[in-house]
Amino acid sequence: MSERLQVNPIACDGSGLCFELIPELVTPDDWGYPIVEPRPIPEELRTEVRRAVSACPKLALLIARADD
Amino acid sequence: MPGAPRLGCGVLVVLPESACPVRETALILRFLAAETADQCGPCVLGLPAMAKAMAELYAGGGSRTRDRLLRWSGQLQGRGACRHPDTAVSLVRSLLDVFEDEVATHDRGVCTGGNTRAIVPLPGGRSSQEWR
Repeated sequence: MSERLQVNPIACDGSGLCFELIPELVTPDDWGYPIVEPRPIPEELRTEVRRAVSACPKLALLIARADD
Repeated sequence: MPGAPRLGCGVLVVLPESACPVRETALILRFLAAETADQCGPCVLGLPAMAKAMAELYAGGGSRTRDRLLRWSGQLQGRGACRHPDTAVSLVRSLLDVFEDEVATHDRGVCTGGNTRAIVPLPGGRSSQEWR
């Protein structure tokens, strides 16, 4: 079971908070919208990721769980 | 398999030798940018930027424009909820890959299309006012 960060691109309005809070997993494209790393969320970033998910102004981030 | 053809949006057009693939691609990109559903940022902002860069490539923008198109292709791949940007990305990538020579002649100010009409039929409208 692994967890991956996902962005809902329709909800996202490019506030930029996610790549400020978790630059390890999210980088901005040339227009200021987030590009999310598809790799599983590393254990040491779980707290930070959860914080970013709840702090996103549009609640456009989500943690997807998958069996693998 | 790298370089394998993909059907993309499911439209197949055979270009005669007299057509210019750079011009055709630039016009399709302009159409795709206008057809955005206005939902996702990367599509709303990224596709017009790609379309503009493709028109610059047509005008002889050279390697800087080519590099920009490749960078943006990497950034836009898989980003739209409906995958609309992927169509533009695969089109641009295959142009730069397969029609390298034709792109290079544009860098020297020559269009292989000559005095022909664009081949790919596109519903028109907005583009004619763009220069204003």
